[in-house]
Amino acid sequence: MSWANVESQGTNAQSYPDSYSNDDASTKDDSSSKEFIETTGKVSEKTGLDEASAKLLVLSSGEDKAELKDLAFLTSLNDKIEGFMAIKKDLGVSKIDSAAYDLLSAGADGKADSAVAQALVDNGTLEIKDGELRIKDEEKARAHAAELQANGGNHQAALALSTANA
Amino acid sequence: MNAVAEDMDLIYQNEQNFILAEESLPYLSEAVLQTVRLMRLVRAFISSCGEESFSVPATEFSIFLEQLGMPDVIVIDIMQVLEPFMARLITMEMYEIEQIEIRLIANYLVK
Repeated sequence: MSWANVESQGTNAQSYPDSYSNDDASTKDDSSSKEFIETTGKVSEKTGLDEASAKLLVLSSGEDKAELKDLAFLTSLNDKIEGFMAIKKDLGVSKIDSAAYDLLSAGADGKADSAVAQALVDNGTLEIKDGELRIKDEEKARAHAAELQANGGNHQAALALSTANA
Repeated sequence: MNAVAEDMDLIYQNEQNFILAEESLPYLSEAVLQTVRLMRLVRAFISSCGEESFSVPATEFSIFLEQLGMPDVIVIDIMQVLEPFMARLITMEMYEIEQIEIRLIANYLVK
Protein backbone atom coordinates (compact mmCIF):
# COMPACT_ATOMS: atom_id res chain seq x y z
CA MET A 1 0.00 0.00 0.00
CA SER A 2 1.26 3.46 -0.85
CA TRP A 3 0.68 5.75 2.08
CA ALA A 4 1.64 8.76 -0.03
CA ASN A 5 -1.38 8.08 -2.24
CA VAL A 6 -3.55 7.34 0.74
CA GLU A 7 -2.83 10.69 2.29
CA SER A 8 -3.47 12.55 -0.94
CA GLN A 9 -6.72 10.72 -1.63
CA GLY A 10 -7.80 11.07 1.97
CA THR A 11 -7.33 14.83 1.87
CA ASN A 12 -9.34 15.12 -1.33
CA ALA A 13 -12.11 12.97 0.06
CA GLN A 14 -12.37 15.19 3.13
CA SER A 15 -12.40 18.38 1.04
CA TYR A 16 -15.19 17.24 -1.25
CA PRO A 17 -17.30 14.82 0.75
CA ASP A 18 -20.59 15.51 -1.02
CA SER A 19 -19.26 15.01 -4.53
CA TYR A 20 -18.00 11.54 -3.74
CA SER A 21 -20.34 10.40 -1.01
CA ASN A 22 -21.88 7.58 -3.08
CA ASP A 23 -18.78 6.66 -5.00
CA ASP A 24 -17.03 3.31 -4.46
CA ALA A 25 -13.66 5.04 -4.70
CA SER A 26 -14.70 7.38 -1.93
CA THR A 27 -15.53 4.43 0.34
CA LYS A 28 -12.07 3.00 -0.33
CA ASP A 29 -10.49 6.40 0.24
CA ASP A 30 -12.30 6.79 3.53
CA SER A 31 -11.24 3.38 4.77
CA SER A 32 -7.64 3.95 3.62
CA SER A 33 -7.64 7.37 5.21
CA LYS A 34 -8.99 5.91 8.45
CA GLU A 35 -6.32 3.20 8.35
CA PHE A 36 -3.65 5.83 7.79
CA ILE A 37 -4.86 7.90 10.75
CA GLU A 38 -5.06 4.80 12.96
CA THR A 39 -1.57 3.68 11.98
CA THR A 40 -0.19 7.16 12.60
CA GLY A 41 -1.86 7.17 16.01
CA LYS A 42 -0.39 3.78 16.89
CA VAL A 43 3.12 4.83 15.85
CA SER A 44 2.79 8.05 17.83
CA GLU A 45 1.56 6.12 20.87
CA LYS A 46 4.26 3.45 20.60
CA THR A 47 7.16 5.87 20.17
CA GLY A 48 5.98 9.05 21.86
CA LEU A 49 6.78 10.94 18.66
CA ASP A 50 4.55 13.88 17.78
CA GLU A 51 1.88 13.45 15.15
CA ALA A 52 3.86 15.16 12.38
CA SER A 53 6.85 12.84 12.88
CA ALA A 54 4.63 9.76 13.17
CA LYS A 55 2.87 10.79 9.97
CA LEU A 56 6.19 11.18 8.15
CA LEU A 57 7.27 7.73 9.34
CA VAL A 58 4.08 6.14 8.08
CA LEU A 59 4.44 7.94 4.74
CA SER A 60 8.07 6.78 4.47
CA SER A 61 7.32 3.14 5.21
CA GLY A 62 6.97 0.77 2.31
CA GLU A 63 7.01 -2.80 1.16
CA ASP A 64 10.75 -3.18 1.61
CA LYS A 65 11.51 -6.81 2.41
CA ALA A 66 15.26 -6.34 2.85
CA GLU A 67 16.65 -8.50 5.65
CA LEU A 68 19.03 -6.96 8.14
CA LYS A 69 22.43 -8.52 8.68
CA ASP A 70 23.17 -9.88 12.13
CA LEU A 71 24.27 -7.50 14.85
CA ALA A 72 27.85 -8.83 15.22
CA PHE A 73 28.50 -8.41 11.48
CA LEU A 74 27.07 -4.88 11.42
CA THR A 75 28.93 -3.75 14.56
CA SER A 76 32.21 -5.17 13.29
CA LEU A 77 31.75 -3.55 9.87
CA ASN A 78 31.01 -0.15 11.41
CA ASP A 79 34.07 -0.45 13.64
CA LYS A 80 36.17 -1.26 10.57
CA ILE A 81 34.87 1.79 8.68
CA GLU A 82 35.55 4.02 11.70
CA GLY A 83 39.06 2.57 12.03
CA PHE A 84 39.75 3.15 8.35
CA MET A 85 38.42 6.72 8.48
CA ALA A 86 40.48 7.42 11.62
CA ILE A 87 43.66 6.28 9.84
CA LYS A 88 42.85 8.46 6.84
CA LYS A 89 42.32 11.47 9.08
CA ASP A 90 45.13 10.90 11.61
CA LEU A 91 47.80 10.02 9.05
CA GLY A 92 46.52 12.44 6.42
CA VAL A 93 46.26 9.84 3.67
CA SER A 94 43.60 9.57 0.99
CA LYS A 95 43.96 5.87 0.35
CA ILE A 96 45.20 2.72 2.05
CA ASP A 97 46.74 0.07 -0.16
CA SER A 98 44.91 -3.25 0.24
CA ALA A 99 48.06 -5.12 1.38
CA ALA A 100 48.69 -2.45 4.03
CA TYR A 101 45.07 -2.57 5.12
CA ASP A 102 45.18 -6.37 5.34
CA LEU A 103 48.20 -6.10 7.63
CA LEU A 104 46.60 -3.39 9.77
CA SER A 105 43.33 -5.27 10.10
CA ALA A 106 44.95 -8.61 10.85
CA GLY A 107 44.63 -8.08 14.59
CA ALA A 108 42.31 -10.03 16.85
CA ASP A 109 39.41 -7.60 16.39
CA GLY A 110 39.88 -7.17 12.63
CA LYS A 111 39.90 -3.41 13.09
CA ALA A 112 42.69 -1.22 11.67
CA ASP A 113 44.00 1.24 14.22
CA SER A 114 45.64 4.60 13.48
CA ALA A 115 48.13 4.34 16.39
CA VAL A 116 49.35 1.01 15.03
CA ALA A 117 49.46 2.42 11.50
CA GLN A 118 51.57 5.35 12.70
CA ALA A 119 53.89 3.01 14.63
CA LEU A 120 54.37 0.86 11.53
CA VAL A 121 55.18 3.97 9.51
CA ASP A 122 57.65 5.07 12.19
CA ASN A 123 59.45 1.70 12.21
CA GLY A 124 59.67 1.60 8.41
CA THR A 125 57.20 -1.23 7.77
CA LEU A 126 54.70 1.11 6.05
CA GLU A 127 55.17 4.35 4.17
CA ILE A 128 53.04 7.21 2.93
CA LYS A 129 53.62 7.98 -0.73
CA ASP A 130 51.48 10.17 -2.97
CA GLY A 131 48.81 10.26 -0.26
CA GLU A 132 48.65 6.47 -0.09
CA LEU A 133 49.53 4.33 2.92
CA ARG A 134 51.31 1.24 1.69
CA ILE A 135 53.87 -1.45 2.51
CA LYS A 136 57.43 -0.11 2.45
CA ASP A 137 59.37 -3.14 3.60
CA GLU A 138 57.86 -6.52 2.65
CA GLU A 139 60.22 -8.39 4.99
CA LYS A 140 59.26 -6.23 7.98
CA ALA A 141 55.60 -6.58 7.07
CA ARG A 142 55.90 -10.37 7.02
CA ALA A 143 57.78 -10.31 10.33
CA HIS A 144 55.11 -8.14 11.91
CA ALA A 145 52.37 -10.46 10.63
CA ALA A 146 54.21 -13.46 12.07
CA GLU A 147 54.68 -11.74 15.44
CA LEU A 148 51.05 -10.70 15.36
CA GLN A 149 50.04 -14.31 14.92
CA ALA A 150 52.34 -15.42 17.71
CA ASN A 151 50.87 -12.80 20.02
CA GLY A 152 47.25 -13.76 19.53
CA GLY A 153 46.50 -10.85 17.21
CA ASN A 154 47.78 -8.15 19.54
CA HIS A 155 49.42 -5.44 17.42
CA GLN A 156 50.94 -3.61 20.38
CA ALA A 157 52.65 -6.77 21.66
CA ALA A 158 53.90 -7.55 18.15
CA LEU A 159 55.24 -4.00 17.80
CA ALA A 160 56.92 -4.11 21.21
CA LEU A 161 58.66 -7.32 20.25
CA SER A 162 59.81 -5.99 16.89
CA THR A 163 61.14 -2.84 18.59
CA ALA A 164 63.02 -4.96 21.14
CA ASN A 165 64.49 -7.12 18.35
CA ALA A 166 65.54 -4.13 16.23
CA MET B 1 26.46 7.34 16.67
CA ASN B 2 28.73 10.02 18.14
CA ALA B 3 31.56 9.26 15.73
CA VAL B 4 29.84 11.05 12.88
CA ALA B 5 27.93 13.63 14.93
CA GLU B 6 30.17 16.47 13.77
CA ASP B 7 29.27 15.70 10.16
CA MET B 8 25.52 15.48 10.66
CA ASP B 9 24.71 18.71 8.89
CA LEU B 10 26.69 17.46 5.89
CA ILE B 11 25.22 13.98 5.69
CA TYR B 12 21.55 14.90 5.98
CA GLN B 13 20.20 16.88 3.05
CA ASN B 14 16.72 17.08 4.55
CA GLU B 15 16.67 18.50 8.07
CA GLN B 16 13.30 16.90 8.78
CA ASN B 17 14.84 13.49 8.06
CA PHE B 18 17.65 14.22 10.52
CA ILE B 19 15.20 15.24 13.25
CA LEU B 20 13.05 12.19 12.56
CA ALA B 21 16.01 9.81 12.65
CA GLU B 22 17.35 11.30 15.88
CA GLU B 23 13.94 11.17 17.58
CA SER B 24 13.46 7.57 16.49
CA LEU B 25 16.83 6.23 17.71
CA PRO B 26 15.64 5.28 21.24
CA TYR B 27 12.93 3.03 19.78
CA LEU B 28 15.09 1.06 17.36
CA SER B 29 16.59 -2.40 17.83
CA GLU B 30 20.37 -2.74 18.02
CA ALA B 31 20.52 -4.24 14.52
CA VAL B 32 18.52 -1.35 13.05
CA LEU B 33 20.68 1.12 14.98
CA GLN B 34 23.85 -0.41 13.58
CA THR B 35 22.40 -0.31 10.06
CA VAL B 36 21.54 3.37 10.53
CA ARG B 37 25.08 3.91 11.86
CA LEU B 38 26.45 2.21 8.72
CA MET B 39 24.43 4.43 6.40
CA ARG B 40 25.62 7.51 8.27
CA LEU B 41 29.25 6.34 8.17
CA VAL B 42 29.09 5.67 4.43
CA ARG B 43 27.72 9.18 3.87
CA ALA B 44 30.29 10.67 6.27
CA PHE B 45 33.05 8.89 4.34
CA ILE B 46 31.77 10.17 0.98
CA SER B 47 31.42 13.64 2.48
CA SER B 48 34.98 13.50 3.87
CA CYS B 49 36.16 12.90 0.29
CA GLY B 50 34.31 16.02 -0.88
CA GLU B 51 31.91 13.99 -3.03
CA GLU B 52 28.58 14.99 -1.45
CA SER B 53 27.13 15.72 -4.89
CA PHE B 54 28.00 12.36 -6.36
CA SER B 55 25.58 10.59 -8.66
CA VAL B 56 26.52 7.17 -10.00
CA PRO B 57 24.60 4.23 -11.46
CA ALA B 58 23.49 2.04 -8.54
CA THR B 59 25.34 -0.90 -10.09
CA GLU B 60 28.60 1.06 -9.91
CA PHE B 61 28.30 2.28 -6.32
CA SER B 62 30.85 -0.25 -5.04
CA ILE B 63 33.37 0.86 -7.67
CA PHE B 64 32.73 4.46 -6.65
CA LEU B 65 33.54 3.66 -2.99
CA GLU B 66 36.74 1.85 -4.00
CA GLN B 67 37.77 4.78 -6.21
CA LEU B 68 37.40 7.02 -3.15
CA GLY B 69 40.02 4.86 -1.44
CA MET B 70 37.94 2.53 0.66
CA PRO B 71 39.54 -0.93 0.97
CA ASP B 72 37.70 -3.51 -1.16
CA VAL B 73 37.20 -5.86 1.80
CA ILE B 74 35.13 -3.15 3.52
CA VAL B 75 33.26 -2.24 0.33
CA ILE B 76 32.23 -5.89 -0.17
CA ASP B 77 30.73 -5.98 3.33
CA ILE B 78 28.98 -2.61 2.87
CA MET B 79 27.40 -3.82 -0.35
CA GLN B 80 26.14 -6.95 1.39
CA VAL B 81 24.14 -4.68 3.67
CA LEU B 82 23.08 -2.04 1.15
CA GLU B 83 22.29 -4.08 -1.98
CA PRO B 84 18.96 -5.49 -0.73
CA PHE B 85 17.79 -1.90 -0.18
CA MET B 86 18.99 -0.81 -3.63
CA ALA B 87 16.90 -3.24 -5.67
CA ARG B 88 14.77 -0.58 -7.34
CA LEU B 89 17.40 2.13 -7.56
CA ILE B 90 18.85 3.20 -10.89
CA THR B 91 21.06 6.00 -9.59
CA MET B 92 22.81 6.24 -6.24
CA GLU B 93 23.18 9.62 -4.55
CA MET B 94 23.63 10.95 -1.01
CA TYR B 95 19.91 11.57 -0.74
CA GLU B 96 19.08 8.01 -1.80
CA ILE B 97 21.16 6.62 1.08
CA GLU B 98 19.40 9.06 3.42
CA GLN B 99 16.02 7.85 2.12
CA ILE B 100 17.02 4.21 2.59
CA GLU B 101 17.88 5.05 6.20
CA ILE B 102 14.53 6.76 6.80
CA ARG B 103 12.61 3.92 5.12
CA LEU B 104 14.49 1.40 7.27
CA ILE B 105 13.50 3.29 10.43
CA ALA B 106 9.92 3.73 9.24
CA ASN B 107 9.50 0.07 8.33
CA TYR B 108 10.77 -0.98 11.75
CA LEU B 109 8.47 1.38 13.67
CA VAL B 110 5.42 1.02 11.40
CA LYS B 111 4.75 -2.69 11.64
